[in-house]
Amino acid sequence: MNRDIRNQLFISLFFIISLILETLNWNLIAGEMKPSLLLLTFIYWNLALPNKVGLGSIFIFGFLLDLIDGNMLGINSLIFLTASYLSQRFFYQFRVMHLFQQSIGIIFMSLLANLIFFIGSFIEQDNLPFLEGSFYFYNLLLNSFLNGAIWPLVFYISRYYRRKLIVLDRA
Amino acid sequence: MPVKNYRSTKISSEAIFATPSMRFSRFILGTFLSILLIIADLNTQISSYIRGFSQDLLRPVYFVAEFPRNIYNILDSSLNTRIELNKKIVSLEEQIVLLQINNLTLNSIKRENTELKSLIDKAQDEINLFLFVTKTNFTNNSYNPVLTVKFKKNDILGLNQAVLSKQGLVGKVSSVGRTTAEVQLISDPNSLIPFLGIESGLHGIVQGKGFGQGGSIINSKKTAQYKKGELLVTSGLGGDLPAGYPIGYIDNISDLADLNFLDISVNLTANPSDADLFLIFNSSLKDNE
Repeated sequence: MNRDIRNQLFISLFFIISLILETLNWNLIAGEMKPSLLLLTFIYWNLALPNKVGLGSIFIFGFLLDLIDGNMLGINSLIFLTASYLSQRFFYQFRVMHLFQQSIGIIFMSLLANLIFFIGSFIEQDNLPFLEGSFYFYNLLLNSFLNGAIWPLVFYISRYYRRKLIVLDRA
Repeated sequence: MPVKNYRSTKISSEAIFATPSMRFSRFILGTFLSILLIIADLNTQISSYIRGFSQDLLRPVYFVAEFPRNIYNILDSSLNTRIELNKKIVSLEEQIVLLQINNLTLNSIKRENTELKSLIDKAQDEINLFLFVTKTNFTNNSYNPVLTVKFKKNDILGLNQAVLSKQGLVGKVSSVGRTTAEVQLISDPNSLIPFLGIESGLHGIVQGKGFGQGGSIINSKKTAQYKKGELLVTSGLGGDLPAGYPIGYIDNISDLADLNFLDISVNLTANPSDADLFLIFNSSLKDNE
């Protein structure tokens, strides 16, 4: 099999596994603050192999997540696109950071993603009655911190399999 | 001594720092496409047309995602089977004694039995108005909870048909695919359900407040005499929903001076995360009858 296609399939497999893990039945409280594994996987591959993640995979997986989560179409694509652009734009700075510093970067990126998601829900609903007395904002905040907390785990697991499975072109 | 693997195939000649990042024009193009998709979805509701069919394609994903839970359920039930069977034997023995006693009075209640039989026959006829569906996925987003159900190929489902569980009304069918359908829950902020208060006899509309947040009665006059704890059932107005199924109980009534209407919160009876089997009320069959 062509090496490029093989690599692309492996990367897509990562996205599919993250999507399935994100779809797992979480309980009511964990539902909103569960870590955004697909977003973290996108960020990782954009940092590791920026030229292997294109608009196509961003739109396909964003679209699938919208369908599964019942969100309006396009909102997750926009989130993944923004995260991918920022990861690629600042990846010179990001790659040389210590893992702890990277986690802080991930927290800020997740906050931005949650802000986009919230603006999307605000546009979709005429009013936001669900916000009354709920922990919606706290959950989104917690989600960002959880994303930062599990970033080292995602990073090491993905890096291990990237080194094992992805073979780049030789000189 | 372990030998490290320095295979040349693992070493890349790609100068990673020379990799070009995503061009700004591509980012703008992607943003434009995403916003276009969002606007199209908001204005034309295209997602409701394709969601049902896409859920058919996503069933393998749900199957894999539900696999650990199913394995846990199987293990749990197999471990508990012996204890449960023993309990069942005890309860059946109790029931046998009860039946033996009841048999003694059989002749005296023969007449009532004839009447009951006619009632049961009527209930059997009504069963045909319902379709059984099973849950395939449930996303408990606060602002947009969605239940996905699977139905038999031969069953015909329509939009806005009522979805019921043993606890009461769950929601309405919002999108239909080949063998899967999406259900808009009554806790969805976009859901409006006409109800009838059992004690007060008042009609009104319950709007969802998000999953886990219950609902509220909207536009209720300040003079309305609702009672705390009152059961609200479907009124059947509008034709889509059958009448008489529980929606929820009135949780709190507050009369705030700065509001034109009463602020009434409702505890919804049905929780779709607890149930796996649902009934869909086929209003078209009812109309045909």
